[in-house]
Amino acid sequence: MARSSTENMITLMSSDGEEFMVTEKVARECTTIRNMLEDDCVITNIPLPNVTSDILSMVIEYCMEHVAAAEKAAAETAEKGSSSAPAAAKANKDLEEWDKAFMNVDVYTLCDLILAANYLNVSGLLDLTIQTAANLIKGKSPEQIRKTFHIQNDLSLEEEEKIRSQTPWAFEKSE
Amino acid sequence: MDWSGLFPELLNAILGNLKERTDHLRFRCVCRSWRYAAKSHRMPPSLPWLYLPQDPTNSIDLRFYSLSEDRVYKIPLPQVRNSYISGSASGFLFIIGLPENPKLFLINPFTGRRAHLPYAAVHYFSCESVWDYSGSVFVGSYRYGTGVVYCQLRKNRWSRIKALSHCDVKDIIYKGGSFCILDSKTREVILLDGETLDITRIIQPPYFHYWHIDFAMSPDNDDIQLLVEVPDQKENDDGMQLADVLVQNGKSDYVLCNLISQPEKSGWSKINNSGNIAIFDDQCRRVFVFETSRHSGLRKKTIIYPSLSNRHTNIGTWHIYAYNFENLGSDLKETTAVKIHRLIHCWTDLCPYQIKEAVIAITPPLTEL
Repeated sequence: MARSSTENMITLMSSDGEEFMVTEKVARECTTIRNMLEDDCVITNIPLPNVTSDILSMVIEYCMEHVAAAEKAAAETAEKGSSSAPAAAKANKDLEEWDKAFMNVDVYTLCDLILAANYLNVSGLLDLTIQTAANLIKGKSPEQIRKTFHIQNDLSLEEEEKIRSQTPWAFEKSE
Repeated sequence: MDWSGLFPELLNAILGNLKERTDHLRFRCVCRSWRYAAKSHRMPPSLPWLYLPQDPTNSIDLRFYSLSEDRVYKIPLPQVRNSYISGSASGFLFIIGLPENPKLFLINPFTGRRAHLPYAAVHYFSCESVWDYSGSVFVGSYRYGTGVVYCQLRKNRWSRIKALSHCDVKDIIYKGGSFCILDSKTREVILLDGETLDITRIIQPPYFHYWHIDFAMSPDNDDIQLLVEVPDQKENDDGMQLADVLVQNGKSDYVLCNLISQPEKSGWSKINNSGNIAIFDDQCRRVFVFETSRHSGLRKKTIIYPSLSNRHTNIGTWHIYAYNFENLGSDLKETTAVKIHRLIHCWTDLCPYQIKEAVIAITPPLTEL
């Protein structure tokens, strides 16, 4: 297929069979897909058996937002000859705010997003979701962490006692 | 997929975003797969904790304030009862028994590891003493102008280092297999072999005019470093331009110097890291230097120091501890004090043995975990 002036569209297919039409530029945000496109440039339909439609739509939303922000910044640079620092800082801040709002999800979705970002190799989204998970862990006791992430404690009483007895102070409730 | 089934490499990435060692300790205790993932992960470098004085109503717990977590940790150490603490080094606290309880020992409050020292010297050591410990040898100076003593733990007796009997010891650190003695009279740094305690090198100071010189403790690296505060001037006596001064407050410059490692070239070299450091000064004897990029919540060109103030009321005197942040980047000296509110006051009347210097020691936590 020859490259036309209009952008190539790629169809991404989720594990539950839903199809998402995205521009090649957006699809290329996923390094896994970019590699596929570079290996075989005529590919237009990509099945993603590891990603459900709910999660895939979120990943696409993230990629579209970040592509749009990058395009806007590039357009401003081209228009003015150079990008103005305050405008760039504001754009960065806006994008950070958007990311923050985007991360307002439950822990199950967050887990699926981490897996999808890892599988599709979207480094920005992976960093964002990993950081969000770390923030949910900070300062929490093991019980609070298990409750937050709905994790079953599969350590035996003896094992847990052994771990805690090494540094019991680390497990005390904070005042 | 649930959180306990997350791939180890992803759990490792999450651990990489947890900057507190205490968070790592709690992470390990969540479930088997998290524990397994954490096993291969190195603990992050840690900021020093502030040791808070003992609570007279509870003489078993030692209390430490973690600045980055804004949290007080209580560690039960009944062994420290009826004693006081003479600073910290290499993750250990040096415990000196009170007259009715003569004993000397080192304890790592985080792991509980102890090393007993012969108590013959118990009346000579005090809060003014400086010391460090290699794991088998303790080297210390009772106080200014009294020379250097050491104790090889397996021999269990105190000896003097005769060659250093007139040394005015400002500070002692153990690093890179050597004990380093900073002599404030001659301004030299004397290196002793960590095992034989023979003098291996004597190194001249990097600057001749300075206001303040100290060893810089830095958990981020293994080099022997000096932090020198020199009067603010464009050129120094030794002809070095201070173009790459690390921090500047309009009055003085702090220069961090690294010991050049080749023996034939004994000397110091300035470290240029564009001022991306924060200095932690416990106002007692330890100065820590941190690269701000490696620690969360640290602003560059900042000096952080704890302070103690007293508030007198009709029921007694409260001791109030605070962390002060002084920004050295601007000409205007701005100080922000963060008060450590919880559980930090104690009644002076009930603490007859409280010694001001001893209460503000900082110890780098968890070096062995």
